[in-house]
Amino acid sequence: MTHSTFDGAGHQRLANAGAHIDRTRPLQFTFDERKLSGYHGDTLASALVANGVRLVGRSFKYHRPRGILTAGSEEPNALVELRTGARREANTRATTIELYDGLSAASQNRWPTLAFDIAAAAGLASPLLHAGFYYKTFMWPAAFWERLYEPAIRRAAGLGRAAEAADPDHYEKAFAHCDVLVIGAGPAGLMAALVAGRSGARVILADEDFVVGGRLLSEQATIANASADAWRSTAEIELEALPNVRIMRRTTVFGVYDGHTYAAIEKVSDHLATPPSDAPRQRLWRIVARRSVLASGAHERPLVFGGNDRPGTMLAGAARTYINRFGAAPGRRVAIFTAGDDAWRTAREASRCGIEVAAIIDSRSNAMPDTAQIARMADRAIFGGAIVATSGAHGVRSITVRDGNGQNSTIVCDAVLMSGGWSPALHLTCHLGGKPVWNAGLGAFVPGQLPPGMAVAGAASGHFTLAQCLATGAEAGRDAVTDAGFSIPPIDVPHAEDEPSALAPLWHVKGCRGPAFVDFQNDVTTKDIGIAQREGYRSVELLKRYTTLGMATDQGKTANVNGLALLAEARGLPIAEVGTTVYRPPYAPVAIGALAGHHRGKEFRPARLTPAHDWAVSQGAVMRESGAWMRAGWFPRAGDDWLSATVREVKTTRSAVGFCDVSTLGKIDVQGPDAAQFLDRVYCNTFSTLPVGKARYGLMLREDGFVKDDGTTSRLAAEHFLMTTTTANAAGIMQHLEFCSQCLWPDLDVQLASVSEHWAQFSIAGPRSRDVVAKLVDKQHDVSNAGLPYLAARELTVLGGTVARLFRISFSGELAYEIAVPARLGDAMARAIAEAGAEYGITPYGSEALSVMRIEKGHVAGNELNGTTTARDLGLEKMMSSKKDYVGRVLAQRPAMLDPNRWRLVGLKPRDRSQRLSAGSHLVARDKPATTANDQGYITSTAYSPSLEQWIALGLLNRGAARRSEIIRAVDLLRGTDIDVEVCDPVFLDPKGERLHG
Amino acid sequence: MADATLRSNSPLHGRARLGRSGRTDGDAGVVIREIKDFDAIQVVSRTGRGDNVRSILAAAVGAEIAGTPRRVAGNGLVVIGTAPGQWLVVARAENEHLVSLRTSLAGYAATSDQGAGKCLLEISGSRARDALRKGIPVDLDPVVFKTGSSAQTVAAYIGVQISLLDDAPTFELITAASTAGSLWSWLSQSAREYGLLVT
Repeated sequence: MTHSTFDGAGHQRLANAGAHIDRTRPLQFTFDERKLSGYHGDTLASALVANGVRLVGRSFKYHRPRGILTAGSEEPNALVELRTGARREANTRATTIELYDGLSAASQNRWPTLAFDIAAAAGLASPLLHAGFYYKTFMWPAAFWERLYEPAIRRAAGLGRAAEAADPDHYEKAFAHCDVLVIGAGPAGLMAALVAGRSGARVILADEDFVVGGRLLSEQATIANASADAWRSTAEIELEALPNVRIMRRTTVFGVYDGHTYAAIEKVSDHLATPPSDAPRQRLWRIVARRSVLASGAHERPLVFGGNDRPGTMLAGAARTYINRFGAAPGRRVAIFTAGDDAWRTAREASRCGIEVAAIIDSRSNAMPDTAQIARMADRAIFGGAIVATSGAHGVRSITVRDGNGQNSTIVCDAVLMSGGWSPALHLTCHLGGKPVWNAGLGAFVPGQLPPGMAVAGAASGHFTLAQCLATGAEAGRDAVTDAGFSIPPIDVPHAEDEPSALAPLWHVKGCRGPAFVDFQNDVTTKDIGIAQREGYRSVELLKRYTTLGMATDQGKTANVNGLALLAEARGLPIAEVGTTVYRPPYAPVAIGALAGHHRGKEFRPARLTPAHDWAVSQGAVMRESGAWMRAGWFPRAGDDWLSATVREVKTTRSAVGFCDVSTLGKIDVQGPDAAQFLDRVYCNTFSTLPVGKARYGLMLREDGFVKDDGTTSRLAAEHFLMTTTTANAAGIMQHLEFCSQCLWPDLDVQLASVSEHWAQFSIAGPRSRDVVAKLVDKQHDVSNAGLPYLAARELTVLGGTVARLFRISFSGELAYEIAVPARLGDAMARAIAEAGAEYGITPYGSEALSVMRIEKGHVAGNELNGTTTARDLGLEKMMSSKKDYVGRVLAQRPAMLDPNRWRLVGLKPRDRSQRLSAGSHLVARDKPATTANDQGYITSTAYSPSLEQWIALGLLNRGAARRSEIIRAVDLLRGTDIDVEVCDPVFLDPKGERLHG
Repeated sequence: MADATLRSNSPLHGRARLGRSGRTDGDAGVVIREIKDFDAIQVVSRTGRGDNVRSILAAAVGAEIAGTPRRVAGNGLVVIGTAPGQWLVVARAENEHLVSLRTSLAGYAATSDQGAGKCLLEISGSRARDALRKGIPVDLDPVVFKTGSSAQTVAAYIGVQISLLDDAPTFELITAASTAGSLWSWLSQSAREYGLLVT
């Protein structure tokens, strides 16, 4: 045995191993501010191992020192804060972080330092934090929970710190489609991809690692009489060359969904110090695959013995990865503890690289060792034995071994490499409800019912040996492409050996000293599982929640099977009867930013801009969200607040002229021979009698008799109506009309088209509005009161031949018009209206002034058309025709809808004119307390009325029509106001409508 | 006043900056051109008149019109199947054919003006597919989505009609004017890593 093979660069970097690091490209990085170096091709974990760093973090509950357990995404212990500042990311797994120059990482869950942690040193936590402690310890007094207990627990038991600034990086989503998705690029996955790729099928091969190969990167093996790595490399080159194959590295498939859909996260730039300015940090893929081959491999299980969490304790398979792939020695003198044949390979390969193997402890007394071979690789071999304790402050220094005769001895070593067997990584097979099946022969759960279109190959299906991986991979690849309709050439599966893989599961070591951890990440010990079982948490799902076994970032990938085997043992049941917990996406943690993709901040959802948006902004409009639309709220001038701007806009409009962008209203072309009849059925009032060239206000009910929407509809031609809807309901009404046309009355010959986007529309209102309109409309069109009377609707031209529509309709109660032009001319039209109206002192007005004027006129809007009001409630019962059938007619006649005690739209004015009313205030009688029992309705809309010079409101009041002049109270318990109000007519201004006809 | 002419603004006026952005080395992987001068009508067949409408449309473009979502071009007109019995007819620049088409369709189909409410983009370049797949869920692979293929789908939560014009590849994206700014934000961001050229 040689002892001089460690090179000079790192403390434990092996000179004669490490096939996948590039020693010509050294990289500098820091861990807890300590300057260290590694190589291109390292992970943070492998670089730490190579630097002899064993203590990497502190555990979640007990703050116990922890090291690196695994070499993959299943890592429970080595969670670090990666990067600094706004890019600081908590709980990143050192085993999955690709090393880059300048990387900065810090350990978590320790204070003040990793080596000396007060909470751990004082033993503050451990006696208390056993299973269920949250539920038992802090029950009383209840008031202490939020103020005292929770903050204290969170401080003690947190996991990392989130960044305190907004994430500076960009994320995106992408879609992919393929015939075959191969998940995992180990021997089985590569074989499946080769077979599928050669058929010409579209293949995606996704692997979470940054190098293709899976376990082939970690093992010394032979394929087709050459090194496994040579075969891996040839396969990769062939796949790269196939135009129909896409290899997605750094891509974790984390979820399976209906319709052959898979979710994957691609870490596009995480291996760089900062993402290039034009590239995303991560990309979320939605992959639709006709067939998939799951070749996700297997996770090795730890052995459960006293002190099995001490840094330096590592899975034996991971140790092979560190040795063979990275040339990083997990220790200089290691002990190997195994329940199966697999870890013997670790002993062989460690010793070959010059790592001293102090002992091999095989829990099987009947293992059949080749003694000569043992002598070559290890100082001692112990059969039927176990490790019962470990010691060492910040890492293993020695172990206590109990041999097959029950005799204890101490062995000095600096690492324990353990193997409890392998569990197929079958998570994705369960996302659509499949349940894993216990296979006693393998000592493992294997996939049960598979998602449609999925096949499983290699270790993921319990075929652990290399020869089995290649064979099942080829078979799965062949089946996938033939199912997808491709023919394939004969398959030549390369030859490989079936390496020894016998196993006699050892779920825990009895009679050991110190806590034996089952779940490292959640600090769950054998004792906790016993407590849970004794306290009645016998279902595996309850066990999970009571002990937290299998929760958090690793979701128990290394812990679950041991945990439920222990539960089975405690309950005296076979493992198959205990079963597993439910596996849900994501398979591995996914950043929320990636799920949002491009859609954050102002891009959270699409914003709809009217054609005159830029004009409004140029006029200083305050833009506000109105559904998806951005609308001008008001147009402030120097010193204006929203109220003074709105008051000025209303006064100018009512005294001279104002104009408003109403392009957001929904516009629907209703055409065809039966269009009039269709509208008669859709609206509660009649449209078939509407003459061509006229507009009419329409009210639509829902099937249940409540009001659905309102708006004006104009008849442009005998078979062409133009319906307008409220802004909020535009899409919903279009859907409703399509439903009515396609499903209710397919016999009616009606054609529907949304034309909302094509037309920019402006309301021009006020006593001088006709003067402005006359300047805009081409001279041949008569816009006089006689030529264009109230409710006229015309197709005409404006500004020298531009096609336009002019409607004499009013929401403000003033003489008013709405003028529509093609949307591309909307911006110019707004400017033209402003110019034409300048001599009359025209003002643009926003949605606030629009709202004030409609409240002054008692016109209902969204606040009143809120799905709880009937036409009668709103005083619109006269619109409900008795001469025809229409949607909602029957159910509007239900007794409760006709109850005279129902609320009704009223106007409300404060008795004290100086008082301000608030929407949402409840209406109660003057002499009654403001309780739910005395509630008589509420205020729907309020506004300061510049015309009345006081606050006014619309409200729904029980029997409101009969209560004019009554004094009641408007009580707002949220804002703490209680105001006497007078009930009045909802039309506050110009009740006879004289202004309209001016 | 009535003699003033109104200046037409495209939905991306002031939003899509001409020239290169994103990655600057090498050729632009994605080239986007906004077509500003076009007109469009939506054609909805009268009940039971679908075949007549297809014949009329076929005569107008000089090519067969399938009852499927395909894009057919000819005689300066583009016909895109958008729904059963429904088509979008686009005319680039001034096109008298559109006027005569409406006349021919009278009695067989309802027509509605739509052009001013649409934003029309042509997207080409070696990485056009890669940029588009960042928002478009349909399969744009040339094996599946061939010249003349068209689909009504969504990108970045915004409805789009996407068609393939040629194997360059050149895609045509037709979308609503009101959300064109949001669509542009997504599309231009998605193209940056490949180098974006707006012409």
